[in-house]
Parts: sequence; C-alpha cells; structure tokens
Amino acid sequence: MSSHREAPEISKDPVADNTDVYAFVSPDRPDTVTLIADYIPLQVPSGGPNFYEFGDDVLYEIHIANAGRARADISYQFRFTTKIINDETFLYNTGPIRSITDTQNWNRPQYYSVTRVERQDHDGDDDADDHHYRSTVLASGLTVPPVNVGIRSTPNYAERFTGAAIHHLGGGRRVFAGQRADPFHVDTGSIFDLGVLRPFEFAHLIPSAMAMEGVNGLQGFNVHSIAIQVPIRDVSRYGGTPDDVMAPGAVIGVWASASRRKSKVFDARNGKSVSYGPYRQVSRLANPLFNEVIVPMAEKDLWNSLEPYQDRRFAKYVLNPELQRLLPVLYPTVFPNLAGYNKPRYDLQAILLTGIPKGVVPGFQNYTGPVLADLVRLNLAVRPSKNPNPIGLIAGDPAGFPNGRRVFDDVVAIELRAIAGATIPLVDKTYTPDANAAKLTDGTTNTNPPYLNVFPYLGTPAGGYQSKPGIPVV
Amino acid sequence: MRSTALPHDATDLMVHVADPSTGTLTLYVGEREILVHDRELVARLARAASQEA
Repeated sequence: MSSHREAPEISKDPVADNTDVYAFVSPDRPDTVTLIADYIPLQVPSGGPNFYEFGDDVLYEIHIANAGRARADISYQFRFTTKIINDETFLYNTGPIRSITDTQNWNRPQYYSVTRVERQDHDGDDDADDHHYRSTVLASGLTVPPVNVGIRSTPNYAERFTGAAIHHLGGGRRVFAGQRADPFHVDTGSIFDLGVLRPFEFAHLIPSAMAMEGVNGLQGFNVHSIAIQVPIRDVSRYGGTPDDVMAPGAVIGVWASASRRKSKVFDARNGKSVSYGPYRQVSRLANPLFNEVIVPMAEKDLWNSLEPYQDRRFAKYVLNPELQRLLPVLYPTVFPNLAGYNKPRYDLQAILLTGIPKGVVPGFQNYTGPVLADLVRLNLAVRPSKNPNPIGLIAGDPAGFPNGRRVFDDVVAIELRAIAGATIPLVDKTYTPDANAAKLTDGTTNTNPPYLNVFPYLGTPAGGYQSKPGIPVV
Repeated sequence: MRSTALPHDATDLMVHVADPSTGTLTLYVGEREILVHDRELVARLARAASQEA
C-alpha cells in the first residue's frame, strides 16, 4: 500500500502510522495550498465500541521545506486530547450524536490544537547552528468529528459533521482532522501475491487467468485525516505567491510524520501506559510507496526514524530499484528492454529525491536542489488543471503527481510505469521503453465514497452500520 | 538537606541505563532528556539490579 503498514515496527503501531500525504494548489481556492496527512490505516467501519481515534500520546506533523535544505522550515503540529464524558457507560455514544458539540450523547469526544513552527535563520544563510524556531499556537480546543458509527448514532453524517468540523484559523486558513474514506486505491491482494497485476496476470511467471479488473484492497476502509489549507504565501520561500514556474523559489517540499515520546512504561496502578521524554519520530511519509517498495525491509524502521535530509544513504535503492529487477522476471516476455537496462535510474532520482530540474520537461521544473531527500515536491506557480488527468505529469498534466499529489492521482499506475522504464527517456534519450511500460496499472480505481470537490476533498467515511465486511475465500 | 522535589513539568521521572560500562544514565523528565555521567551511581544501580526481587 502507499504507506499502510509499510515497515515492521510501525505496522504494530497503527495510531502513529502515516498512510498517505497530499499537497496541491487548491482547485477551488488557487491562492491557497492544501496539505493532507492520513494516518491509522485499514479502519473497519464497524470497529467499535472503541472506535479509531488519533493518539493523545502522538505528535502529528506536516512539514514544509522551502529553502532547498530538505529540513523543516515550517511545520504544522497537531496535538490531540480525548475526554470521557460519562464514566459509567461502556458506550461510545448513548444516543444519536446530533452535532460535533453534542456531549450529551457522545461519550468520547476528541479535541486538538494546531501549532505553527517556523525556522528563523539569524543571518539569512543556511548555517545549521545559526537559527531558532518560533512556535505559534494557531488554535486549540478544536473538535474532531465522531467516527461514522451508523445511521442511528451519527445520522446524516456527511451533512451534519463534515462542514461543522472545518475550523477557520483566520486569514483564510482552515483545518480539518477526523475520519474519512481512504482515498488511496491499490490491489494489495494481487500485488503482494508475487507481484501480480490482474490486468496482466496472463503474462505473469505463474499465470492464472486472462486479464481481470483490479480489486481495491482498501475498499470499505477508513483512515484518519489531518487537512490544512493555508495561503500560498504562508509556505512559500519568500512569502509571496510564486507566478514563475521556472523560478527556484516556486517549489516546496512536503512530508508528514508522527512522533512518540522516547520512553513508555506501563503503569499497572491505572492500567495505562505513561510516556516520558522528548518526542522522537516513529513514522514519516512523502512520496507514496517510497518506504514500501524502494527501501529494503531491513532498513524500513530506520528510514521511518530519519529526516528527509538524511536520505542520501537510500539513494542506491532508487538508482537500482529492486522492483525494476523483478518486473522482467515476473513478466518474462513483457519487459525485454528494461531487462537489458543496467544504468543508474537518474530519472527516478529526479522524481523522488531532487525534483525534476529545468530542461527535462518543457516549461516545468520542481527541483529543490542537490540534497537527496524523499519529498512531495510542489511547484506553487503551476495553476490547478481545468482538465485534471489522474496520471499527472507524465500524461501532460503538470498540476498532478509528481508535482505535488492530488487525492485522485493514480500514483500506483504512475510509479509502476516509471519503474518499468517509461520515464527513462527523460534523462536517457537512447532508451526505448517497452511497449507495455506506459500501460501498466494495477487496474484499480477509487471504490470508496467519492472525493469531494471542496475542502477537505476526501470522501465521507464509510459507516459501521451501512458497510458490509469483505467476502472470505480460501 | 537536599531537595527531592521534581521539576514543575514532571510528577515522576524515568531513568535509562543503556550501557552501564559508560557510567552514563539518561533521565526522562516531562518532555526533556537529560544525560548524567556518574559512574558511582550507575554502578550502584547495576548492583541493585543484580539483587533478587
């Protein structure tokens, strides 16, 4: 999956597990940028009575690097607090929850604060020791909407709770934190079964059928999303709204993280764990599938603990990705040109680790400098597309992945095609991609509730009563 | 008499000795992490840890 359970350690800690990151110029408010970080994967909508919620002991952050260092120049921090209103019931709610402030029937509301942290350099240079951070609490006591329990407990969920949970922070800034339908789609059932892509499984090393539609392994599951929309000037390098696509200052790098405090002890007196010490990062995410399919299993936990500016040590896995070597083995007749390509994959390095420099794609760049770092790079001067293409930049839509990432971008297809060699000619004109490289897909589409056209853009979470579990087959 | 009161940001503290041979212990107090180098104290803690419960 994009980053759902992508590393051994974080797969045991879903409350802190980043699943996806999105960054795009807001299509309905193009003077703003929307940043979304999803957490807590694979939520079964009926998972009560202790439904999914943000962790009070987790520090959630969305970071922006705007000075080419791949270090956080601006971070938005989100801290949650959960209350139990009635300590004499086992129930999440004791009647229909009528609003996000209905604590008469809602027994376990959750609240949060938003803090903006900005790096300030004393003399304007990039001296790592000559800076400090300024923290500003933008808001506190903001309400998280309840999860979508069912038609009796959370009636008319979309109308009643979504808009009410969008909190305005002043100056055109707004924020949402709560459960949403997982916007990502991927055929996990087939991909993890020896790399099968159902539309091409007749050509697999172990063929099983003619071409089939993909099966969205995330269908029916929810996530918890943090979405913040701010004026572009809040995150751009020079504090304005860039209008020159080719200007270096037009590009930002975005990633999200989750941190836990360094030490944790189970306090048997209360039956709860108590945390001590400073926060340390346990999960991070920028480009989808980076830690999932680029980084070897033995280093995934380490990767989650590091910051993007430390990613040079993983560049060798980008330049010579394991999946590139596997594709011609798994599909013996499909990728003859890829099988014979032994040069470093500088196209993937540009897409994932530096951004695409000038001169590669006419009229476009999202280069952030030579620091090798996994970041979602967004050129803020590229306006939202009037006819967006979910295949993004490689389909001629520069407002889409890998220029930022929109919720509907088909990143699985894009990255499959890139790794299969479709993007090699960007940097190596001598290479001819295999005919099927540009057709690769896992065959899935979004089968969860539809995306919204307005903030927070993610679909209504599936309801516990309304949703049926999957059908087991052995 | 020395004070035994904890800092204002903590009700208790956590001590971690990662490697007794270094004589270093780590205190976790509130959201802070404090390194203390005290070979005698670490040795006493190690001896205490060797005792049967």
